[in-house]
Amino acid sequence: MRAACLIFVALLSAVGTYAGTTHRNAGSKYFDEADRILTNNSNANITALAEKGWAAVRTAGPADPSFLEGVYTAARIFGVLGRELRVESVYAEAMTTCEGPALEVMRARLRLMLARELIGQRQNVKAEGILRSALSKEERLSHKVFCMWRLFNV
Amino acid sequence: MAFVQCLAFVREQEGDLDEAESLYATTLGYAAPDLTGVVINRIISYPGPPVPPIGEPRTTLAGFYLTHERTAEAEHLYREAVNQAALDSTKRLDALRQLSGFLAFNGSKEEALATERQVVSLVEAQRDRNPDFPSAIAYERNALAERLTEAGHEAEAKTILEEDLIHAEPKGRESPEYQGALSWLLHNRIQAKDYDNAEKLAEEAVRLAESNGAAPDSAQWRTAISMLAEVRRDQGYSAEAEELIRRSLAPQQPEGMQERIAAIDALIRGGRPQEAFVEMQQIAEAADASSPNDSFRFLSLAQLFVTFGYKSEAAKVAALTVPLEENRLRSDDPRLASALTDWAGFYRGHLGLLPQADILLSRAEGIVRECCGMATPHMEPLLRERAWMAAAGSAARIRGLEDLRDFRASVYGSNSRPVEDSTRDLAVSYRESGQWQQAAKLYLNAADISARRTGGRGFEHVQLLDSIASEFAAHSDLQMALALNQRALDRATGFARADELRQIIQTHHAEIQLKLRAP
Repeated sequence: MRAACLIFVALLSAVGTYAGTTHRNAGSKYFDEADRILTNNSNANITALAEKGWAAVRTAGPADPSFLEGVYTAARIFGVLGRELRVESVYAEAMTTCEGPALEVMRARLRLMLARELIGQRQNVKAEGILRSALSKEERLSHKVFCMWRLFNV
Repeated sequence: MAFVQCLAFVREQEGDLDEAESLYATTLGYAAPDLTGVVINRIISYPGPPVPPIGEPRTTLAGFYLTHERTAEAEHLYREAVNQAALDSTKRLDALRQLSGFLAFNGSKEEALATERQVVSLVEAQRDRNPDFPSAIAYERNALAERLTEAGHEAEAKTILEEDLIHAEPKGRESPEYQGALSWLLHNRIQAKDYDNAEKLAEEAVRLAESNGAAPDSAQWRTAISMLAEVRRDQGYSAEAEELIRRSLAPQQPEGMQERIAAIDALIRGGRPQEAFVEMQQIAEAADASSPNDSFRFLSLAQLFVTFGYKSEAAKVAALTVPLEENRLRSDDPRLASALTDWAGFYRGHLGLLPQADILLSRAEGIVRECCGMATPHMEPLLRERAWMAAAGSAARIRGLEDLRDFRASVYGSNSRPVEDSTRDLAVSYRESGQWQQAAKLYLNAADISARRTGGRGFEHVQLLDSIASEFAAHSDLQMALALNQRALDRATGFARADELRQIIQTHHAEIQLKLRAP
């Protein structure tokens, strides 16, 4: 059983993929250390490392090409610690850093990642709320694009 | 597109099949969503968390139909996907793979085989463009061997996989290529019931695992041993198979632990509970602080004490183990909440000590609230335990079960499977407390949820209708019983074991008719 847990933790450290490959991100130094400790002791408290990693990712911000990878890894480690509320707040904080129309695609990706996370936790009703809100935002956005197009083409 | 497919999947999980289907259908005609830039877990494990299918719309909808036993509609979509992809070899390859997989389980074995042959030809035709050609073709040749075996062409299947094994040999017997080819040939020989060859291959896999220096607790060694055990069991040597399994599990236990647990078990059964408890104390003092196995063992031994009438020793075991759990896990870990809830259940169910159970539940609730909030699946066992703390049939038990049902609806969706189960549990509670009218309403509500959740199809739904019909018959509401029974009969078709179930429902039908005719 313990061996199975360790294999699981080891697997967890290798599953976040971005276009098929694992990327380094601004918090990797802390996240890697957290994963290493967890591999040896699945009960270890590595909250401080996860927080430091997340702070580094947040500071690097969405301009960093590995920002989403960093968000995913932070959320994954908080998830392994069983801290579901912190997982959600990581996504909420990440979305706050993606203000402005230029980052709308980034926000949409974050919403999809959060929805999948909630579906994995069987939190269907909460996931449904996020997906419906994301769809209505997408609809508003495409309506806006259509209006702009008409403005310039009529 | 990805949002719509995810939403469709969520509605499916929530038990609203009609909306799920129409959402999947709205994506038809669009290309598969591009998930570039989205970071997700791409490893799917069974059993594992639910994962929404995001991909080519036609095959995603076909997968939905297949899940809900609508094979004709699924088949139509799989065939359509093949026809539509005639000009795009990559899409055609995907579509053919899907069709072959579908036919292997739901259609003609020969057609599944012919389709898989097309897949292999296409992969071979793409040899120069595919950097992963060796592994891709090996994978497809294994799939072809499976289809061949299913269609009764075992010899050709064997030839293909033996060729692949010979081709892999120059890379070395320790190479992943050789071991992969060996494993596929072994599985194929088991599938073909060719146990003599399977035995030789399984023994070679064990030898390789041992000569590779694989430690006895490594996954490779355990897999090899369990494959050998499977072959020996299929050959009729069950005792030898069990011994092999025992050997593969034994190294996981700390030295001598199995014997000590067996000794405690014998002491309890032999009427020496104090000595058994002293032995347990010694194990507890030396227990590995990070091993969840110990708590599981202690819970089973505590239950054994109760079974043999030694409640005071069982209570001492509980008092000994709860602090062990608290040392083993972090104080904010929801797994600790789960362990405390299990022990609360033990205090309530086996010892009848409700105050102790209540204290543990309050502590568990505090942990869950802190880590995950109140609207999380981690709350579910707590609410269930709270409901069970009240006496069966009491108003408090019913209130607790209602809270559990409402909680499940708020987290999983109002037509989800857990809500259906809760509704039935509530119906049973009302029935037990003599409130049949309330129970009847809830039984009908459960049937409605089931109809919505399953589309009114399948073994499970039909069996539920029949069992609810029997409840109504037992409470002399024979018209309703007959209507439900008839509905079950009408739907007892088109799924595995439908005929068997139909016969049972017909027997019940006759019994209800007999009661109706009685003066």
